[in-house]
Amino acid sequence: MARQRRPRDDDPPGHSFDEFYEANVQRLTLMLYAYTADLHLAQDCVQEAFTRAWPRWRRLVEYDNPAAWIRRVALNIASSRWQRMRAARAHAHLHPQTVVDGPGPERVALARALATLPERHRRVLVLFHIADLSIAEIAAQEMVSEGTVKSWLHCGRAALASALRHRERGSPCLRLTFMNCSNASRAEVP
Amino acid sequence: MPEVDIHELFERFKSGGPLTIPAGPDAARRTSERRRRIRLSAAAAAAVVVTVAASVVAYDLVPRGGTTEVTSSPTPTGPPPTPTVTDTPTSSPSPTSDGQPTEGPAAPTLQQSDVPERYRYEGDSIRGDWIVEFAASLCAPPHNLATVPTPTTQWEAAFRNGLTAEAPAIYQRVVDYVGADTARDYVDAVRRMAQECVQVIGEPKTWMVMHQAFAGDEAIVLRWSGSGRSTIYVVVRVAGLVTQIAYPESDLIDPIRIGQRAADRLCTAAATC
Repeated sequence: MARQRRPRDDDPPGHSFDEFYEANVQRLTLMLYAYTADLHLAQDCVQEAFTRAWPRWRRLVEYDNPAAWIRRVALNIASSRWQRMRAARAHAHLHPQTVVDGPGPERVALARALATLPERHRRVLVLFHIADLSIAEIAAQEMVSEGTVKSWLHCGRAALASALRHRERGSPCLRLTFMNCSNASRAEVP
Repeated sequence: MPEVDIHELFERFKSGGPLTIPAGPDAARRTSERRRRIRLSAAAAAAVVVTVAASVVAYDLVPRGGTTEVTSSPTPTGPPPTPTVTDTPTSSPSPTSDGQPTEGPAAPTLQQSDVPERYRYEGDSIRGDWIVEFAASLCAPPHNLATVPTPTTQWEAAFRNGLTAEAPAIYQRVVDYVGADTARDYVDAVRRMAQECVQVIGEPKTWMVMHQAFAGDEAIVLRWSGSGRSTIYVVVRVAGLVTQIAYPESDLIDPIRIGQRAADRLCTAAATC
């Protein structure tokens, strides 16, 4: 575990970078693991996001919601191939030799099932169920109507349930459900 | 599993123990500081190269051995020359006597003579989130320009007005999309992003298209502004090559001129003009 650090003079008053890190890192790693189904990649993306946050910390801490910034940056790193590679180069050596238990079978199954979903469905599921954002907050962040978010959530959940059922039976995901939902949601998005 | 309860699944997913031991805030700080030091070292090294090379040039011009004759200047034509060393960034191939590069493609980036004199070449590898792709990712919805087909080759150049990492800089990236169609798609995506983007992450910023069609096959000048700061992005395409140049608006650099210089460099590299 990283050692505790005394607050520094250049920490903005009342909001130390360490506190921000500790308050967000686990939930963010969990969210990125659900988003990527790759624990090391999730760690790298999260660590890279915090690395980018540090030089901006004095400005970032004045934002209404610094956690939203770091969540968006981490998700963007995860969804860009070259940014993922850069994050891995920078942080892979930091992976601890002795890990905690890691994701159990149920978490692995859910992450792998999520990985079969279209990116936008996976994204809203993760934002809603793991980041605990409201429909309105997701709609504002993704710049779509609340109805679209509900539609993506509905389709995402249906596809996820299908993927989990078929994974349990040992057969591939039922593509028909996935396709129908993709078509329905595409019509709503300009 | 008779019926999948998604809510319950996610609740269990969240309620388990930590997935891993995080590297910690100190590691984030160290990596960030290391990147900053690398930038500073590159700037300092560039300054040393400029100083040493300028001294060599000055020494060569000093009359020696009692003779008063100064060796002739290699290029008497054209505008008054800037110091030789600053005309040739280290990443550029040295030209042969017939003006052709000795090997490989000509570096299609801006050269020292293309930027205001107060800027000095700093290096050919730029770290950081300066590119338009990163700015676009802060929009809602994010405009993921990185999904446009990956370029095959890229070059970078940084010029800085000062020696500290905080000094204003001109950053440039040139990418080779091989095909003009792909490069055109990329420029279209940038233009669309500038028209549609509403930034909701971080401090609010807006995009504005300031100029278009002034150089190369396509050219755009964009202004990304908010919270009292503005960045100018100049995007130019020549055939399959696209460059983006970023610098602070406060440094009063003419975007049209620098875009035209960039287009000239792209033309030379693409050999299509």
